[in-house]
Amino acid sequence: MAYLEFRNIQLKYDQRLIFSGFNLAIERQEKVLFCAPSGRGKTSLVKMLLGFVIPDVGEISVAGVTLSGATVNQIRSKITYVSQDADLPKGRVSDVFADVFKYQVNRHLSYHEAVLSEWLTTMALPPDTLERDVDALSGGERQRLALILGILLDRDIWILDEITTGLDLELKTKIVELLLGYDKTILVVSHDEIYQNRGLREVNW
Amino acid sequence: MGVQEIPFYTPLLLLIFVVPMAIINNKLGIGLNKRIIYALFRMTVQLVLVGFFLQYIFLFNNLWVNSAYILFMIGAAGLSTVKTCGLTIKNQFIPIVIGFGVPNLVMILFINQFVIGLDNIFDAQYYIPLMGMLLGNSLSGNIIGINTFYNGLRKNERQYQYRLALSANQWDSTLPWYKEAIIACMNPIIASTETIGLVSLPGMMTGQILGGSMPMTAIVYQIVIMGAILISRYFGIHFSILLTRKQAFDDYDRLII
Repeated sequence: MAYLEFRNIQLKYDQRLIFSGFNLAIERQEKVLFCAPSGRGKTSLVKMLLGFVIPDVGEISVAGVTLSGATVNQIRSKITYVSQDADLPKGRVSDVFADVFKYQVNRHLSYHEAVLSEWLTTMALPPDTLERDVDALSGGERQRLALILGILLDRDIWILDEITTGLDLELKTKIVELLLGYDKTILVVSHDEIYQNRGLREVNW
Repeated sequence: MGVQEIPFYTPLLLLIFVVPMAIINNKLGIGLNKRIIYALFRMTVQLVLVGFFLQYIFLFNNLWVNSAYILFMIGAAGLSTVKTCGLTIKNQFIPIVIGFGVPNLVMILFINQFVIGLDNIFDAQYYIPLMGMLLGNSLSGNIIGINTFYNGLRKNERQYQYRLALSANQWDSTLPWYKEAIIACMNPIIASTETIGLVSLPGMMTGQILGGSMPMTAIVYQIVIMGAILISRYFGIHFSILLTRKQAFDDYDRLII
């Protein structure tokens, strides 16, 4: 059994059939690029992994566990999800980060603000970002913070949904190279050419 | 000294002033006439019926009859909440009724027993009108709070999902909107508690003074009722959200109402 599996998925959205008899298997530490045209349900597909969208027919399994109401929390705890919108919780950045590591599931991770500060530099964010309110940040800044949070959570599966939107080429290249360098199972949703020729398996439908 | 009795027909005299209102509305094309007439008519019929009903209840003044009337009030308020908030009646009527019925019931019995010190805490003269005041306030607070909570979650679905994805449990993931709901529910009552007496004399006080009570007696009752309203509204909204949310999410923590 593959690490991530979609088996015989059927999904209707707004009366429209988006997936029918859809199958996909992804191996551990494989890096996959979902590059289907807009409106084909790329985001729905990754949201199915997280149990936010439930298929009408079919089965999904993650690391040998079949997704259901009983296993959804276990599965979510293996996945880092960073989306284009980067809907970070509201509040002061340093508090937001500290809070996330207080959740039961994340408590085993040792988190220090110093580590976060280093990451701010890496991601070209000003050091005073820590003291700022999430609402006062730009979309691009929030997105990079969400990426840092994702990296610090150190989960096995990364879902990166249109994360390069709004970043300049130099920063984009740096971030993509950095992320793809990790030994994680990485699922990228994007049309950005930056991912071409980087050894990702392209999945289209 | 009691209140001057009003003959049943003299309230009709007020209609004299409704005539110019209707003319002005008509001339300016303000489409309120139908609604004003309907509201006045309905109010009169409703109050007359309640009046007759209460006369009999006061005549019996029996624990069970009084409590049945209170349960009827709670049920009506629950139904109104469920309808206004667009919750499905089948699933959410009972949680709502318990959610704010219980705190208000506890509060009214507490007041009657310990604050007023009645011999019979189910005495219709206190039990029914005071409970009506508590419920009326709790009702509006509940509607504001419940709407704020569920609409907040609905509008911020992506943010809510992101919190779940970060492995907050359902409680932690919904906490921002829960807090918002409590604040939205309490804001109006805190504001009116702060300014009461300065802007207008509260209805209950006015009634008591007209009924012959000394202003200081009326004031003490008013203080009690204001405190009670604030407290039962607070617990009522907590309980109502806590009880309705049990059936508001599916196994995947997705909002389904």
